[in-house]
Amino acid sequence: MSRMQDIMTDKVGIFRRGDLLQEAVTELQELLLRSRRIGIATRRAGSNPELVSAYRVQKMLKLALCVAWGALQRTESRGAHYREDHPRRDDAGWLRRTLACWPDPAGTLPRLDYEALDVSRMELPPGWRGYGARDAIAHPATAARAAEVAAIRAAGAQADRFTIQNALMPWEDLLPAPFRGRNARLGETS
Amino acid sequence: MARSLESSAPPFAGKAARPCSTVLPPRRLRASRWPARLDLLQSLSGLVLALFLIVHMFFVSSILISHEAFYRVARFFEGSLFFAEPQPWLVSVVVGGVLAVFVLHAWLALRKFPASFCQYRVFAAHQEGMRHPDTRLWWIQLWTGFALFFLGTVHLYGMLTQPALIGPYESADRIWSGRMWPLYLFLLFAVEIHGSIGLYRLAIKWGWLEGSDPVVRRRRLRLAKTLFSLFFLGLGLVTLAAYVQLGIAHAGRAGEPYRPGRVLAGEAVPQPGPGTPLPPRTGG
Amino acid sequence: MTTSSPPAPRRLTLRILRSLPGAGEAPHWQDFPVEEAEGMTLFIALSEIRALADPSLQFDFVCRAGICGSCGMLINGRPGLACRSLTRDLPALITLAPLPVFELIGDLSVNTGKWMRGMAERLETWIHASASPALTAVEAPMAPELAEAIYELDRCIECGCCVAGCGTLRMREAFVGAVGLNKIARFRLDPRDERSDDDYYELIGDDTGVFGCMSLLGCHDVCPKGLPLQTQIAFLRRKMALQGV
Repeated sequence: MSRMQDIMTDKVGIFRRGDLLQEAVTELQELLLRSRRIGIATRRAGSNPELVSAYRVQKMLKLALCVAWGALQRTESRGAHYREDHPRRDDAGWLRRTLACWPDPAGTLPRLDYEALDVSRMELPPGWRGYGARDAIAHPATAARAAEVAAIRAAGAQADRFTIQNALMPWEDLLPAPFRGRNARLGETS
Repeated sequence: MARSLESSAPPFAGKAARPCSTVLPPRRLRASRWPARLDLLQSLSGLVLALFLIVHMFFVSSILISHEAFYRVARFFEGSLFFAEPQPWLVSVVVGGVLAVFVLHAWLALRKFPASFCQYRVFAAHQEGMRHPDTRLWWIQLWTGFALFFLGTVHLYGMLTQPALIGPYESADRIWSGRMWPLYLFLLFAVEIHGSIGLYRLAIKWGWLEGSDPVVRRRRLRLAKTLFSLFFLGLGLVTLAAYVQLGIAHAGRAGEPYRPGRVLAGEAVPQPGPGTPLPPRTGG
Repeated sequence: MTTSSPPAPRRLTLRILRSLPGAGEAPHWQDFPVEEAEGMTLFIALSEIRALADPSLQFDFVCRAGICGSCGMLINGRPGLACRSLTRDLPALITLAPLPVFELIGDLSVNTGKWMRGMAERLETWIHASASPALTAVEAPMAPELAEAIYELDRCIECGCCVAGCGTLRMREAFVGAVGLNKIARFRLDPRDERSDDDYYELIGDDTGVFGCMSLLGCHDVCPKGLPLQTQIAFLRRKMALQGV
């Protein structure tokens, strides 16, 4: 377990590199295979922490592999995932969620699927976030949606924030009924 | 997805109408006010006893000034200001009052005693392991208080029933020839230690003299407690020694009451007191 | 060759009370040698023992920073948080025992949560208000000083040290302890709680409540958060005594 912790800290941190990620995945796979033959040294009834660790370490390794394997595939930088070998954010290629699952219990790698995000429904389409270089590779739909949002905001300059919110991205109907009331804010006359 | 969850879960929505309010329950039967009163009474009776103790120590130690001084103090309590003849029953009344407060305090303090061997053992081990001064102080108070049940009662009973036998020779004879000095020695330690810790605890318990800095305040209170103990123990020991010395000197004529102006052979002449000489004691 | 080498690290012995309720294992002391390291806390020492000597050793930690309150234990007889106890402040022989009063899970692990829950339900340590809160209205403002005073008492992490350090509670386990009285003091300050002193008297106006306190100050002196328990209990005692006269 402590080897896994070291690998995750050293090679799958915030600043990542393809070759190191590959090493991490290889080592984690070895650890996973080893963990399937895990045994415990102490025989104590009750909540034996060693037994708890033994149960958990296999699952932790699988989770670590999901992270490391997913990070290795994602050849861009985004938020806390910074690839030194791919420093630009790539909305065109990677504006999508990684979905990992483990269909084969005997396998040592998860299956990765990707779910694309719908830029045309975003309240805040991906843009420059105010820090770092403005070098992101834009998603093809971003410009159109950004213009749309700007238009809605301009048209509703006199409208209240609830109206604008509804035009941009309605969500009130998703709330349980008792929480749909319109919250008052300090300094805002109702 | 979230929409279907909301529509399929009306109980949640119903509960959420009053998410965190609690309606006050209907009025219950009122809890007894006696625990509050008993607690106050215990503190109050302890305070009265401690104050009495201070005054008492000063009166008793007047023997250190002179036999005459103590004689006058004793006569004062027999009403010498108002009556021509000494009225020892006045002393009995005061002693009776003190005894009543004493018994009340002991009775109330019983609530705090370990009530079983199990409790006793747990606390003994606890104070041993904690190495915590205030916890240990309570343990000391417990034992001194326990000792006072007996020591204090014997002393108070004697004073209650023989109030006239308070005087330089009378008291000294009681202490030496009456072999009361061992009891008084234990009583002195028990009562001074118990009293000073008690006063300290009263201040902590009720938050008296709470300054801006509780740490400094507690350190000062502890210092005051220790000084109080040491002062009264010292005073008490010297006084007791004076009585013992007098008792040994007077042993040959034990039982003879003190008369102002008359001196024991070999003793220094006491200073004549101011004012008119008091009438000689009649009864014994 | 260097002229001076750093002093050899101390060899510590952690004497731990091992037990396993219900498993037929009699409680016994077991010694574990540990080599002291710079800035070592008992948490680090215990983790080392678990990693290197006995992986079955039970103890609780979550935050390692004195915030979660799980690692309360008797350290050389006194309750304290293991994560905040530096070994350099302790002698070379350190005895560790589980906190008393609480239900023992095993070794150094106790169930403080169960006790705390019972206390909270008994003292009703939540806001009692007759009206439902208006969900959409702006919250009622509170003076910063008052908010600060409430927060001061709200810093309690329910670690159980005051409970284990209380001689009164050790003798009479029905006593609510400093943690309970502190909660009452906290809700008494809170203007959102509509309970009066009369209501609070119902909860703590007897010898299992504020009048049971014998002012031993064990709670105050072992509290890892430095809560003003001494003054708070004295304050409550005055208020509750007023209810009695």
